Amino acid sequence: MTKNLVIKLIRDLRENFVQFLAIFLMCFFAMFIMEAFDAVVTGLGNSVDEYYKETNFMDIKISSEGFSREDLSLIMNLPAVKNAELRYTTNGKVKHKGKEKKLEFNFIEENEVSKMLIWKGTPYEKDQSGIWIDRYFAEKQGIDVGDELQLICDGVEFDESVRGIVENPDHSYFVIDNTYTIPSIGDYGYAFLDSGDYPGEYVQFDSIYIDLKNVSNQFELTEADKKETDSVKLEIQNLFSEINISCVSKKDEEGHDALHGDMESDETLEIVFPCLFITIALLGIVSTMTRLVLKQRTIIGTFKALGFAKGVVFMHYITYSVVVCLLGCILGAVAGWFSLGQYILDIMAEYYCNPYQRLEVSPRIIIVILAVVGMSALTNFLSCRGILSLRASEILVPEPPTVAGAGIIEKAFFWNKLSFASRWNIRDINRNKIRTLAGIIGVTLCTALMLTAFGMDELNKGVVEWQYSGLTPSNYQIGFAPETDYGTVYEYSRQYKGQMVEKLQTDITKDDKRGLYYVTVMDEGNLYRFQDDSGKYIRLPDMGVAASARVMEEMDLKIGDTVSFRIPGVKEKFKVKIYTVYKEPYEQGIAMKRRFYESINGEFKPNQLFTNMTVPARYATEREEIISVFSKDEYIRSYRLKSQATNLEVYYVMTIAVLLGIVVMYNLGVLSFAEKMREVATLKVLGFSTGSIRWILNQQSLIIDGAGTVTGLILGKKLLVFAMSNLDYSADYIYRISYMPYLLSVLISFVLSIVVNSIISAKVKTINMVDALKGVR
Amino acid sequence: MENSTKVENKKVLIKLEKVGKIYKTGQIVYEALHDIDLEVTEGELVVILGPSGSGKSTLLNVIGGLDNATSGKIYFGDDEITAFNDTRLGKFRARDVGIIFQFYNLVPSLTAYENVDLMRDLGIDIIDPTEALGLVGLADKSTNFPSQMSGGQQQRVAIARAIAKKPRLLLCDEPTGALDTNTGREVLKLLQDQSRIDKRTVVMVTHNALFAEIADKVIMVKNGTIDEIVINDNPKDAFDLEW
Repeated sequence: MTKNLVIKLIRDLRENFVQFLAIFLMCFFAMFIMEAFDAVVTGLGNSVDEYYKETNFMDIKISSEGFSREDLSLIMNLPAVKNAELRYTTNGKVKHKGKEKKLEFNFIEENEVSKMLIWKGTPYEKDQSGIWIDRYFAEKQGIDVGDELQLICDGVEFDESVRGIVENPDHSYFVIDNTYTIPSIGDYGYAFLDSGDYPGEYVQFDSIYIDLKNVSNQFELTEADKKETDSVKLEIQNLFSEINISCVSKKDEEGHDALHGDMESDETLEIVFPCLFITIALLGIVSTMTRLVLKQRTIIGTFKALGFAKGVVFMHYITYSVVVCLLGCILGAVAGWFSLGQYILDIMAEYYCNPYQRLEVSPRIIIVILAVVGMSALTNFLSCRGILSLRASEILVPEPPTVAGAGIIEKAFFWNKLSFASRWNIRDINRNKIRTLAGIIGVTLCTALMLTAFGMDELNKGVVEWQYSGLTPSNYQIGFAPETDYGTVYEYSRQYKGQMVEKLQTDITKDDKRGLYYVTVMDEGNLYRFQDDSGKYIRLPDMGVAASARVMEEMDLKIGDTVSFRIPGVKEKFKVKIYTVYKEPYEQGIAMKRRFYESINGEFKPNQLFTNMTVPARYATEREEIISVFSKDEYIRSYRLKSQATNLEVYYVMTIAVLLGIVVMYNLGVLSFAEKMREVATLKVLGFSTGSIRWILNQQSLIIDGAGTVTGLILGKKLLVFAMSNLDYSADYIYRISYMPYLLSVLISFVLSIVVNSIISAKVKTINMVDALKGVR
Repeated sequence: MENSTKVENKKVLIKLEKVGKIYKTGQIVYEALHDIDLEVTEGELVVILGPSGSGKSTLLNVIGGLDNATSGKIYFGDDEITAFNDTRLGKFRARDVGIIFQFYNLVPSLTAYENVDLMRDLGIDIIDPTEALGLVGLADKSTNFPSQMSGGQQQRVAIARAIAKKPRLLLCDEPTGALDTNTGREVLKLLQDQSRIDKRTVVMVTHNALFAEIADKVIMVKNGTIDEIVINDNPKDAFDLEW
């Protein structure tokens, strides 16, 4: 583009600052959100790949009460197995600087599968004594290489010298026992020791970590990887059919699964909202450029008359949106990286331990920016080509009014009974269908965004209320150690008037479908309840089980189907029929009454107690049988901490939705007014008062806003369900929101509309009748 | 006043043969020009006169290549411009034609200097914009935007823009239509000087019959046809016009 056209471009952008700022902001916000999430997802994906590769992360882990070296040989002899190692894991304690902390002990013989990554100190060597301790725990507790630690493991006290500070991929999302809802990095830790250092009489290995030959180490498993893993898993289960084992593949490993879920939800956010923003940006380009081209009709005609080639004029006008979009996209991406992206990464670092965690640019962002700019150029081209394709002489005369025949309403019997304002508006809408449609789409998208944002906020906040007031309203939860006998838990239940629950994770299968879910067995009581998808409380069936809606969906189940599961340490396989479905936010699985479980020969071994009485927190450290004591407030606090990133995302969307609402309505309003200027001037010349003309204009805006709001609410509800169901793959919600999000969306939409229309229709007062009517043919 | 022998001695710059122009809007067909035959010689100041809707602006548009004739041929020198495609027509307008509009049609976001300099963006040699503005008496207004100038000044910038590229033909569509008498007279003088001093062909469309007095040739247009061609042996000086 030539010098003077560049000068014109800059001055035109300045003159139409508000409109182009709107396009800029929409592109900015779209890429802001997209780049923030994409940088997190790309950086995490690649860093985890590196981490897994360097530490040779396990492909399958099997657990049981005890494995021997013969068992290990059986595994090693499987053709698909590359390597396997025995491990014994148990929870104990460490005393350091006068403080006693929980510590997970891992006794190993080799360090080739799910290896320790040495951060400081010396690498592990077989038969070498000493302890290799969790880096984050060491940093928080002030432990360093060479320190002598006082340890308690399986009831035996012993001392070890710290040989290394390490990280381990099995502990990337580390919750020391199942009563913690989220990791609390550094408050407890894990450690590796040679099996020769086991302080008891004899180390009974309880797990085997397996590395497969044909399964890659990368984070995202291929279909071939998954198939190979499932096939080996089946072989192993057949190999140990006599004893009960729990077999967890890489994709079900807690850390991997949690990170995968988070990354998938980030990917959803990365796509859904930016797509909406870009759609609105394109709508903004259509309205702004149509208006600009309309306003510059004479200039375009002059350019053509002066001899400027069609291509040069086209290129000049296309450059407007291309420059603005490109600038918005690039600055948005940069800002997204440094603010939201960094913030999400910092939040994730509070839960995930990954030494290589970082933000990374993916080629996808560059492609998206180019695509957005390309789409803006195309949209711009389509908006301008009507005028730009005409001959110079045609452009230099004013555009003739749109010709349209009488619509159906105009032929209706009530037509003549309508007021002038209504007839004028109906005719105007009929003759400017595209403009009306653009207005409705704009309001629809803004209302939908607002409803989604307000709905997400309500559902996110409501889920705490749902879980801790609706489903588990007890004030305290006690977690018991796995070996605790029934009598002990029963005594606690009597003392604290509590409800006993057995909850454990195991594979639930139906034909060839299999998934790792929770099996919950309920004793009598009303401190742990179930609800259906409408929020109504339901009773568990007397014979059979209830399944969570998510399990039903994921395993493609229907009521009346039979599923089977195994309990670790129990030989028999349980087969149960599904009688009803319940909704559960987090721990998806099946639930049954204790009486039913015992009727199918299950042994009720409660590991949780729900009570309304106050339980001293010190029990968790003082009493062997208790591994955790949590109050409802602590659960709520930890949930809020975990959901702060999501909340921030929701607030971003809310703010952007309101901003977009203002911008889209103002833009479309200004365009619409510019197109009606001549008619408005004519009405004014004929003697219509400013007030009555403003009423005519406002009436049409209200019709468009009303239509857009209704469609926006319908679209918004669908968008809300889609966003929430993809936000956290392990979570489920009752997608029932109160009237508030609807009311707020409608109110904001209408208030914005009234304010914006008042500002625009105020121009009627100052309209220059002579100028507006000049050149009318 | 008619003297055809004088015209024959000069070289013909524009020649129209049986030129017609038909507009179609939906079901409505409108014949704006019908079988126009016309010759304009180099250095002539031609005034096309006619009432509103007579076809005079359409005639100007087809001569300047702003619009295509539906039938007939138009020659510019030895070139038949009716055979040109859009690209060649664009180049023809850029190189050979300077256009002056009734409402000046300056780019409002460019200064007077930049509006003239814009012609350089067409890839043609132009005289220095300051010099061009000097020729129309606006050297001191080069940094002014159109909105900071009077109508007469804006029209003079438009003339500077048109003449900066030294075109062989100047087309003027009601150049004084939006101006007061005195300013209009000044603009007419500038245009007349283009013909008299710079020997540039000037074709001017107007509905004001008085302007016929400054023309070398007056073409009367009525209902899309040439009603009469009048050759003026003694055109008046623009400053002597009274209206």
